[in-house]
Amino acid sequence: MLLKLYKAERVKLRRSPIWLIFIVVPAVPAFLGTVNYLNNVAILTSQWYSLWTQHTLFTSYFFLPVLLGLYCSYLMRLEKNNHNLTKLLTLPISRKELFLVKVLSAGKIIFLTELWIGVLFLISGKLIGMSAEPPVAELFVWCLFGALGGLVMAAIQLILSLLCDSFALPVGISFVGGLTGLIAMAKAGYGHIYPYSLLAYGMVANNNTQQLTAEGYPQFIVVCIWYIAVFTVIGAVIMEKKEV
Amino acid sequence: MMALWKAEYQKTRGRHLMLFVFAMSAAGLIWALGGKLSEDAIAKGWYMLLYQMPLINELILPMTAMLIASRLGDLEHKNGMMKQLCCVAERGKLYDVKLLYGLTLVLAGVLIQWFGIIADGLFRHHFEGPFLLKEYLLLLLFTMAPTSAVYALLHAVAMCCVRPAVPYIVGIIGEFVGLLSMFLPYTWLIKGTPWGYYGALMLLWSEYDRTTRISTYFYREIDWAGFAEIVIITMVIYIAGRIVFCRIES
Repeated sequence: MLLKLYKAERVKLRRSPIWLIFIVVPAVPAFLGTVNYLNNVAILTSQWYSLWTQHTLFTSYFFLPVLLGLYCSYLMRLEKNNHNLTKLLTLPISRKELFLVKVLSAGKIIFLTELWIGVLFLISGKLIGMSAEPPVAELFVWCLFGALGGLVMAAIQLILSLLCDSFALPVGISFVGGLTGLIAMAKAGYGHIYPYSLLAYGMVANNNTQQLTAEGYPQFIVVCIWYIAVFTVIGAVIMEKKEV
Repeated sequence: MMALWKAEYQKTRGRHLMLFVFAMSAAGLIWALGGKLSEDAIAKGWYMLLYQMPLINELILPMTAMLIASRLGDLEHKNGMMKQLCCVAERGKLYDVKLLYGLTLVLAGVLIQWFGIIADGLFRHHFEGPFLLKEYLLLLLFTMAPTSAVYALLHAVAMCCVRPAVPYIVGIIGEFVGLLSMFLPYTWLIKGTPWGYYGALMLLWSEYDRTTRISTYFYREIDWAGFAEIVIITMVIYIAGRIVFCRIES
């Protein structure tokens, strides 16, 4: 049943405008981050690592949270339009699996977004003629961990989108969440456990504060999986108790 | 016109739009004034805020505009409301009223932030030196102008596109370009989008000494030409958006 629901979700997302967001939006920070790097190459001396922070610093705190909020609002909007959710809830399918499938769909889009950010990063570095070898293995870890941290955010956003009829409200909360994530990371020092900081923390967007190192990987994975499990269960319970 | 305004109020009552605006303004104020300020920051507090606010506004206000424009547009596109409304009201007037209503909400957010930073400087942090009334009035003017342009653009997009995600896509891309244009020296990038004018109309620039941790602020020449440009851009966006909205079939 889970697979069938997942396939149905894929059909719903085919030819949706979400793919346009996925392709266009990450290209903007990639271009401008590279231009910014070229303008400050005298002080940004760590080559690929400096370029990565230029690509991801603003993206991971302000723009990816909004993007995730949009993805999740859109995923729930698909069901809320034309009372689709009401029809869906009357079908003999597991409501818990329905929410789980939404989380998986969001996860897939987030992972592809992260990979696209990684590809754009490599292309930008090559285009500007970086002499050092690109840190491909580290890049994959940053993207993977970014996706994991993003999935925590997505699970929360899906709950909010399920509860709110508005398309805009969850996106607004996501933006404020990103801001609080920055405060938690830079000022309070809770970036490694605050749900809205995990995306930036996983992507290693900060060069100096609270850097995620190899020793911290297991803890990061455990924290993310714990949050994803908790929020998915909460979302599934809400879906289960939802009135038709 | 008044009846349409009242209808707009009735439609949005209970949708917590003003709460949105308060929350976003509060986020901006916390960001600007939260935490403990250094002695240097308190001594030069009025200048510090004149320098910092355009950056914070560049992030917070377009996001508020995105939320409000998308919400107000979505209200009409949902369940074919636009078709019904356009049977009883002129399309152009509907466009104008919704623009004015949304803009009032967004500019209320600008005022909340503006009064908030002044009140904080006077009564909480007790910034040293006299209050810079002329500069702060200019800050208000130079914040409202790009905000109006951004809102007019997002409103046009929200009214003309059925999908509520479209204003967000335009808004996010514009906001990112505007934000990074503040750190780049290219005029075409700074003045290429309405978002860039938050930076173009900044009153001060700053130099930060890492060793002494002291910031020095310098006055910039006021860019009245830039201000005129953004006013013209707002008018052009408004006229173009209105024409397109009046021509499309709902």
